[in-house]
Amino acid sequence: MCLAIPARIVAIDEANDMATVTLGNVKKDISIALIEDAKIDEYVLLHVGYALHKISEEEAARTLALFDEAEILEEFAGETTEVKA
Amino acid sequence: MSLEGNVSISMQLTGQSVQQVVVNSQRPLLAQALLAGASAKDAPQKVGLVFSLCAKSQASASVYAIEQASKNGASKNACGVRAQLVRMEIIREHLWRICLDWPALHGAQAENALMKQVLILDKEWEACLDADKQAFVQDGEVNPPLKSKASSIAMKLGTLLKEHIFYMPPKAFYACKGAEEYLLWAQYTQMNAPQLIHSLVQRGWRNVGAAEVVALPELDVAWLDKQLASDAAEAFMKQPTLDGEPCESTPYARQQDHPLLQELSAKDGVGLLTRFTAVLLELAATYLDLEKALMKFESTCDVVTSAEEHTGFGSVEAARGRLIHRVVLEDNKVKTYQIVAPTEWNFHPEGVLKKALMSLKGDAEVIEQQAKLLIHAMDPCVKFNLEISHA
Repeated sequence: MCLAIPARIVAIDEANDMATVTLGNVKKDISIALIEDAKIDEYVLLHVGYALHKISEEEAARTLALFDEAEILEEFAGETTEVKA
Repeated sequence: MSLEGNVSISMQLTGQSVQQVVVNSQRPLLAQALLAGASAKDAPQKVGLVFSLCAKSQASASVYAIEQASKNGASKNACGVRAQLVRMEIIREHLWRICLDWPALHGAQAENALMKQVLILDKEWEACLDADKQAFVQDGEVNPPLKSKASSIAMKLGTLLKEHIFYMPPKAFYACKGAEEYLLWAQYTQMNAPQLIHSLVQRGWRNVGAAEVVALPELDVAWLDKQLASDAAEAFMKQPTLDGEPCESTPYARQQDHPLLQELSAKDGVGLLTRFTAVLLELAATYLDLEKALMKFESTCDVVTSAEEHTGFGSVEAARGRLIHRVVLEDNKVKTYQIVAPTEWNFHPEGVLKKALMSLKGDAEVIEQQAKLLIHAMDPCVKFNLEISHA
């Protein structure tokens, strides 16, 4: 349903325009080829293996709070950790 | 099931034919959990925040539904700005596929740098048209955009489409009426989109996946309300049909009256060539609509008509098809929130993708390549898994 989830950048591989991001206990390697000047600890919206764009920490917090309120993240917390996009 | 959802497609082959296809869209229905209890005024912003891939289409459908349920129409300026934001989003999403997914389908490199430019224009467009972020606020004060700034962004987009996608102005591409002229363009234009089209012709795959099309018609609001108010509402949202008939809501379904598509479908059926061409025509058509609305700022509100008391519907043609929201309000708060998304029509277990995949013939490697092309031509908004096995 066109859901794009905020995730925090925890590592950057500049040579390959890739980054590792986390959302809860899920880790993913994603492409950062479409965004400018990504930095560790910044938040991005993910879509099918790409960072779609950067979002502010406040916006990420607001979105994640909505998921929290609806207890949706907990429901999916048991997902297998994914390390390759 | 993942939070983002996915579409899994498994095909079982016997010899050179497809014996069975199972299409399973596994996407959680999150709207009710996320929005129940939200104030009517906050709901569209929350929708835009959470369903942020097609945020403008989602927020538009949401705010129209809320306005209808509250019997509170939008200003004409708001409707005009919403429509322009949705058009840019459709263009961005089609370009996403063309720049990032299509190259791999004919052995080329993804055009990341080009897509980066598109995303910058998309951001500039949003900042220009909705600087105060009021377009999706009920009773929001929306002013017409600054025409010179909006025109300058639209011109940059038009130049990008001309120089990197069509190799001609979008208007000239949309005016192409004959298959012969179109296929010559595909053969001699060294750009990613025409090269994909030409590769289909070279491989003799023009008609691959041709299947009968049942385009999603305008839906009667009373009928839709009956489906979504019933005990079977969840089943309808997951696997919608029109009285048992799975319909398609795709760029082809919307553009099928274009003379080029009529000619291609008459010769080759609605297969790979016709479907990818429909995406290109829709890209050009949407840009032309955006340009036209800029010259004469539109002032109509395309709102679904009458519904039950406290119930509202919003229906928006988004990049991948029609997006329908239904809301029921109680004491000005969301009691029920439902979304019927286009992927559920197009990737229905008995829908158009299954019919197209069932028609494939050849060895497993060829069938896999053709299946991937068909899935991309119908474009789910989530990732997909394709599994092929032998009976």
